[in-house]
Amino acid sequence: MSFPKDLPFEDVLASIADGVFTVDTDWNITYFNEAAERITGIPAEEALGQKCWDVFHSSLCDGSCALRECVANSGVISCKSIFIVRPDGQKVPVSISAAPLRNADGEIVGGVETFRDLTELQLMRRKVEEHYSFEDIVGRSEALDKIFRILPQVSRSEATVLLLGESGTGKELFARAVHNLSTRREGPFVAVNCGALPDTLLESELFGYKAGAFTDAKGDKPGRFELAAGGTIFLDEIGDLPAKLQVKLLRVLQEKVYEPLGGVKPVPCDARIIAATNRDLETLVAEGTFRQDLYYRLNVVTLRLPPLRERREDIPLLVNHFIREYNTLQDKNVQGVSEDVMALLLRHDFPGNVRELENILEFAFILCSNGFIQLEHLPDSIRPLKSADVLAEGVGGTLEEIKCRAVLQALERNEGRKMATCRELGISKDTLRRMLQRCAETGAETGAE
Amino acid sequence: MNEKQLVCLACYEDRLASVFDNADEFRFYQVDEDGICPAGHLSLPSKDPMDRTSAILACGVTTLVCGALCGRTERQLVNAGIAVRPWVRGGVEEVLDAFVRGSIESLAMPGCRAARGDATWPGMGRCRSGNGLGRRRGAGLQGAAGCRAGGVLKKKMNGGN
Repeated sequence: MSFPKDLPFEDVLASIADGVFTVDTDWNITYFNEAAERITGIPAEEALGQKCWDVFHSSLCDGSCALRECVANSGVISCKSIFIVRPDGQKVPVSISAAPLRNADGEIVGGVETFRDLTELQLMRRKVEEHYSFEDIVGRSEALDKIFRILPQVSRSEATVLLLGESGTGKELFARAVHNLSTRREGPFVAVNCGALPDTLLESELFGYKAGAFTDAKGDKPGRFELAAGGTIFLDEIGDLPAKLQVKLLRVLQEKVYEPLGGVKPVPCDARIIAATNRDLETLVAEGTFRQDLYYRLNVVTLRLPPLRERREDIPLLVNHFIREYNTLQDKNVQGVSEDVMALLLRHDFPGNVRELENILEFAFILCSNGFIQLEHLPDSIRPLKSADVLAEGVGGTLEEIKCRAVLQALERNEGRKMATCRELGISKDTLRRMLQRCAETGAETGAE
Repeated sequence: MNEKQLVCLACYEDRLASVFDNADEFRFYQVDEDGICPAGHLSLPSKDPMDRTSAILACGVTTLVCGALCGRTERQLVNAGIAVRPWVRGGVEEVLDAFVRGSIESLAMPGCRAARGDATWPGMGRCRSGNGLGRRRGAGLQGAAGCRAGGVLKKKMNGGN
């Protein structure tokens, strides 16, 4: 079917939600629609006439070009999933389709590529499948960066990992990221909360049982260790593991075998172990409630996850992340949080860490469906910090508070980027760190009043 | 410039790779007061950005010049003390020439040129090349290298290859 000659062709292309660009035979961009501008973050006037690889920055651009393949083979490529890198440094998953363009004589005069932003789809899929990776951990603070630097190497090793951190710091997210970066990523990820089950049930859950092991054991039941074969088992709240099971776990770690309940021979264990706790294991060892030998076996690679109050610069990023996530999941159009709300969040101590921040925003989404989240949309629990309210209103305060306000507002304006904040304020990175630390201390004192 | 600098170009064939993660080769160049000359290359079979970051650190690179670079990788490199000049495009010789003349901004990728001053387009702030430490070191390098004539580069390049 031919395109009607009297229809405004460009208006039609501009109206569609998918990005569209065309190239000539020298791979120079000849057309770039509005959706392409939006998805790539590059204005059409800068894209036109440029080589497509200098504009699109896709995972195929250097040596695996879909358009080149189409033109060379006179074929069509449909719905290929790749990623592009936007000028803001974000990797954006897209689905591309490509085809050659021919003139009236049937000669190839270039190519056309359409692409669809899969960010929201990917976000929903990850939420459903809980398939989180390294890239899904939101934050650029120094505290997190130290972990990011070693996480890939740690993941690729077979070493047992012990994740320490307060409740809500994302221990399971990190555990999943370690699994998904490891050579066992194709295998299962099995999470067990050792504190959530009674002792007897926990033993059969972890190690399984054989038929006849107890009255109701009609048949064999595989344990979580067996289910995690070839993959990773995540033992959360390991500090709550009862003494009897500590011995069995120690055997797994030492000899890579375990015995199901009612079993007569050891079963080999092929699961990597990641353990986590928010308790102080050293104290538990000193108190005699946690075995020292097990502690040393678990403590091969220890990652201490920082509480949110020690990485306040990540709060704006996390807020944006959760707003985007809830907009997608709840089909809302919340633009962001007001300055007052951001100031309040930046001052809050977050004893519940990232989970608390997520809960605050989830609550706000109930009351706010579009525009900006305002103070009245927040739960009462975050409001008692009087000093924070004064700061949020932007009036008065001690010199220290005024400095804090300036730093936190600059941090917010720069979306948590510390170097940009330093440039704006004309201070060094060390000074910023010291000021943030003082802000945190002041906030803690205020909260205690 | 008193100290030697090792500059790495993340390449695909004879140009900078459009995306750092896609580069199939790192080319190294030594920059000192005598100019700039080739100092080896490294083929990159692994596409893993972490492997690439490790390789750059292991080779003692002081400055990385590359195309599109995701924020996380850039931060890791900058935090490790590497001066990073991302979002640059062009052929290898063109890039080296611009580097030695201190005019590498002229090779900024589309979407990165208006980054100074009127950053109204989403993401403009990021692709401003050389964040943080990288920017400071890069600026120092440029200033010193710019004192040398482009001819020094060409002579060294031809001789070195």
